[in-house]
Amino acid sequence: MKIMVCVKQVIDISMPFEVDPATNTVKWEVAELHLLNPADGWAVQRAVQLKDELKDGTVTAVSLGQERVVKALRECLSLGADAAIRIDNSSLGVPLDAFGTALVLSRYIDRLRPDLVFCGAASADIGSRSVGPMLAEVLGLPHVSDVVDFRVESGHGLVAERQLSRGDRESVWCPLPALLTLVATGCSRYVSLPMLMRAMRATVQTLDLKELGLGGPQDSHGLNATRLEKVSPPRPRPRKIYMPDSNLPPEERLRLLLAGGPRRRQPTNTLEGTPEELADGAINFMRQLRIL
Amino acid sequence: MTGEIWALAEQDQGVLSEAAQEVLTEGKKLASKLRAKICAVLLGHQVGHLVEHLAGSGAATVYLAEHPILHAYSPDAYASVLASAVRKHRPQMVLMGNTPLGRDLAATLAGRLRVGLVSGCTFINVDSSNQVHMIRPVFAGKASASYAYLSPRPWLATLRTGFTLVDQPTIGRAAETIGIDVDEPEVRSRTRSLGVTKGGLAQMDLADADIVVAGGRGAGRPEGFRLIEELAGVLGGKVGGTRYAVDAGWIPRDQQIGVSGKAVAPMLYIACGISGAVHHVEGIRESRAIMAINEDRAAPIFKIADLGIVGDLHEVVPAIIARLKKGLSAPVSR
Repeated sequence: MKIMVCVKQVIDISMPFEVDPATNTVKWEVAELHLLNPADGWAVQRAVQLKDELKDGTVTAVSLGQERVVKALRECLSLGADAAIRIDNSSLGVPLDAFGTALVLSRYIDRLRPDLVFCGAASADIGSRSVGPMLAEVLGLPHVSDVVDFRVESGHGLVAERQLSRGDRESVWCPLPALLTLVATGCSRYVSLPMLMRAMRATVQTLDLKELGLGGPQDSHGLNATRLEKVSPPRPRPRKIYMPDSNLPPEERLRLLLAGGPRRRQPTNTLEGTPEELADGAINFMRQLRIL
Repeated sequence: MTGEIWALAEQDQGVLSEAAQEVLTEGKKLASKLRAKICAVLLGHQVGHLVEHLAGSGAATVYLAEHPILHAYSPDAYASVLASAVRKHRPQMVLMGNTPLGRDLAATLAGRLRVGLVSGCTFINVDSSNQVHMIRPVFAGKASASYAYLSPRPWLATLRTGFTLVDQPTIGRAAETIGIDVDEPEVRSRTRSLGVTKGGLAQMDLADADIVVAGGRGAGRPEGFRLIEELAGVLGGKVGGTRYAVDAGWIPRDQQIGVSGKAVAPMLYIACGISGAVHHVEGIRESRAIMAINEDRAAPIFKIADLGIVGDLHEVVPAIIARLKKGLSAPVSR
């Protein structure tokens, strides 16, 4: 089984930064730190696990980006990937959006004709969750997104458990070759020293866009379908607005508007007493809310 | 700009989703700014009865595709039906909810039509020259980014839901209904849904839970958290905590609530031994009801709580658990 895993190196967003309103760009307070996107690392582990179970196959990690991406690819190798390829897109001069990324990846993946393509379901920095399904479409493969678990059945199909909202799961049958986007459901496995040494010594192959038949002048914008205009400080969280009933008298409407609607929080009801009395109060409160 | 804005009317088993109504409401606002026509797109099997509701909610036209193959969602079937409808009717934009279905369908359709998609938008800005700018949070909500489209139309977007006040439908409003043909040989699905299992609590995300029981520094030690977990278990809720509790190693990081963790909006939030620092309160503000248990009657958490219980959580929580376990038949009102 030939498995390809698409990985992304993301900026560690837990590091402090601020958005400069003058230039509309992000300013990091300390040097930027880059990580292998956690969901992608998980996808590599699942691929390696599957290869080990089947006792056959190869796992290749592929990533787009500048020289520093090699670090993330070495991490994939230390997790057990057999090969790692970096596609250098720096000649484009603009960063690729989800669609551009899918197009470029497809050029390479199409050549290798893998049986399975894995992507992390979401990246930790942008998190558009769209590269996977877009890539599947461009490659002409069926896909299942937001997969939390899967099992390959008899070599020509698989059953995937898809994560829906509120903890619901959908079971989906999908023929091979296919693309899955994986949700990280565990943490990174322990990397042994020999694996780490092997990853450090391995060569990470680099391809440029010309080798993929891309990167001509017409491609500098032609690959992207959207353009990032600016980054600004976060907008305040949208709030539900209250519109009073137009049949109410004007003074009442004004009062409601100023008060932010009739469902405004009541003043806190404070209880003191013995633990038992307090527990009674808590139970009564939950009954009023119809939780009990 | 004239033309049509399409809003996907997501439904499940013939019931219109909350997201569908929000997307339609947002689409209506956008359409009026752009002087475009707002249209709802309804895909499914035996869903014709929803047309009336969509018309009442303001859709000028309802595009309707009904076929057994559309009964359960599959990216293949849904995207190919939508793609052929888009090619025929040429909408300016197609909006969907940022739900598991909407996210997957939008990305699939964008790949198929080779057009731009901005997902997870919280706002659509229309400037004075009628250009649209799609605003969405990035870096886990710590910044906001604005995107423009470069591709030919239609432009696709998924909208975060849960923030829009849905318009009440006007009963008896009519809309033009246009059928979308489902051409059997082309519309097929390579994947097949084998069924949906309803989620247990274990799989549920903290942000989806109806009841959240959270602890902070007042829990004092890991054993204090055991009580909080037990209370959550009895109530059928999820456990969360403050940054202090996470840093102390009492709970894993993915259960952290607040500015540097998750934002929750449950029906009931129970804060145990949480003082109510603003960084934490920011993450629980949208809760329907807040109950706080704290020894310190001056703790800021009592300012935003609906019910404040002044007492030691190590005594009060076991008493509540005992009451709940004893069975709820005995009346406790006095």
